[in-house]
Amino acid sequence: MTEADEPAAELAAVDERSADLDLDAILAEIRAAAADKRRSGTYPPEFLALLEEPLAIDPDPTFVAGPAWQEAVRSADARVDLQLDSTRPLVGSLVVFTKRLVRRALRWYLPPVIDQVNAHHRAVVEVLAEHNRQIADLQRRLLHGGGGGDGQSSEPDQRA
Amino acid sequence: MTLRSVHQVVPSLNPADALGRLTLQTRVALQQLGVDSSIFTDDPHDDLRAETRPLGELAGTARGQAVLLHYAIASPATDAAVGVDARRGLIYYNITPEHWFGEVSRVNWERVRSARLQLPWLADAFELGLAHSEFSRRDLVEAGFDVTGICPVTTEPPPRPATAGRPRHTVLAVGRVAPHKRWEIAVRAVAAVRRHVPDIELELVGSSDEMEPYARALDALALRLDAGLVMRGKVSDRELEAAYARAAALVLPSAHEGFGVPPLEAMARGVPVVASHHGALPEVVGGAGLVCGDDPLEWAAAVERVLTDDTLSGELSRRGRERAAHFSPATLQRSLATALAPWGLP
Repeated sequence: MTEADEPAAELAAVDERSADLDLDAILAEIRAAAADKRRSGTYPPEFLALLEEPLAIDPDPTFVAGPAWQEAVRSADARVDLQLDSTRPLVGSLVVFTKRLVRRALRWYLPPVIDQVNAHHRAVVEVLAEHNRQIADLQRRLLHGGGGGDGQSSEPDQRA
Repeated sequence: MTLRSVHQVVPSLNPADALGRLTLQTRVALQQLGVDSSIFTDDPHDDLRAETRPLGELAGTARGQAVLLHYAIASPATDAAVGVDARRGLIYYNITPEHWFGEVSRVNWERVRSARLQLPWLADAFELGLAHSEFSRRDLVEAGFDVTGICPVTTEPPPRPATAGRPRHTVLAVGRVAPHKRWEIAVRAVAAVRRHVPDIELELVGSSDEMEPYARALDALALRLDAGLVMRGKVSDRELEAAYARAAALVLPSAHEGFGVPPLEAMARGVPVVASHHGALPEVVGGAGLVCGDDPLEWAAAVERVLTDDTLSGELSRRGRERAAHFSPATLQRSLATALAPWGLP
């Protein structure tokens, strides 16, 4: 491998030897103070418990199901009140009248059937949504080692 | 053979984002190095349309010369750069691992995944890979780039001197509202600080577009913890400058940063920085800020120390300005001169 990064040398960290403050020592004090406050009851247990709670992310439903998910939800309900119109000249009003007549004639039959179909669609969408949630949750556990979405990083500690 | 031109190829050019700014700074640096340099894109911001040329003109213009592709996402700009008969270099904008976007945004998950999968293939098509940090350069080496280098992000001096002596009452967080930024650590930390310093607020500046599930969860957490979170969304340059002016400290708890522009901007303005130990952040902060782990109480103790210890705050401010001065246009120019010298830069 050849490197072309000579200027990187000039981006080296600031020279701390010339400064009065030792940041490493201050960071050690900070970590000790944090540990001490955790132990000593500075914060009430219920507050510390809240700090430990994972971030409650409501997953993007399209993540598992794909972009078609929105359309699946939107079109789950079939409609019976479609607008009755016609673009035919002259006979248009007759066509609309006939459609209205047919719809009225079938009112005893079609809406209950469509209600059943819609109930089924909604149940299917709800089942899929639950599957989405569970798959997203499994993915989160898999990727974050069982923790919450805000869990441990996969990046190495750069202080080393 | 002496190079006459080094052209840049970008997916889009917007003066308000990091990619756009760096592209414009790189053009100036290249021109000062004595080569002609145009910017090719099919998606320029309206204000910059006159300064760009369409991708369709790239092959004819750059033949026999050199092109630099700014690579952040897979896009037609990549195909255009690969298709040109010229020396090819790639400037890499670190790609966040896709698992950070799982459950939050499928669009982003697919975007970063395709970009990451494409990178090894680009190692064969580009003879030079430049990154903004050593951390990011290692990605290029891993992807198979033979020749790599560092081409730092630069910062411009703030438009006016930072306001000295003015009370600063916010902890500032700048960046996209996205899971890998782990703003929840900042929320938890400031919630803990507020138990001792009640008037402090956490001001979060950054877009949450396409990240709404995460933003909602963050907001809910902040409310439960009484963290004093104010989410500003995307703001203008002027509003961002005002946010830096009222900030007592900048926090960036990211799990993954290929560079970290906000700490650099904060340091340039003398705002003390508390950053995470992940990604390129320790490299960028470079001993001029506090570098913390993943424990919110450690962050709380660090922020509280900065708020209450004037000596430390003053020293971090001084070191920050000194550190930021290294990331100058002159450094960028020198890094490009070194990287492109084997190609016959005049």
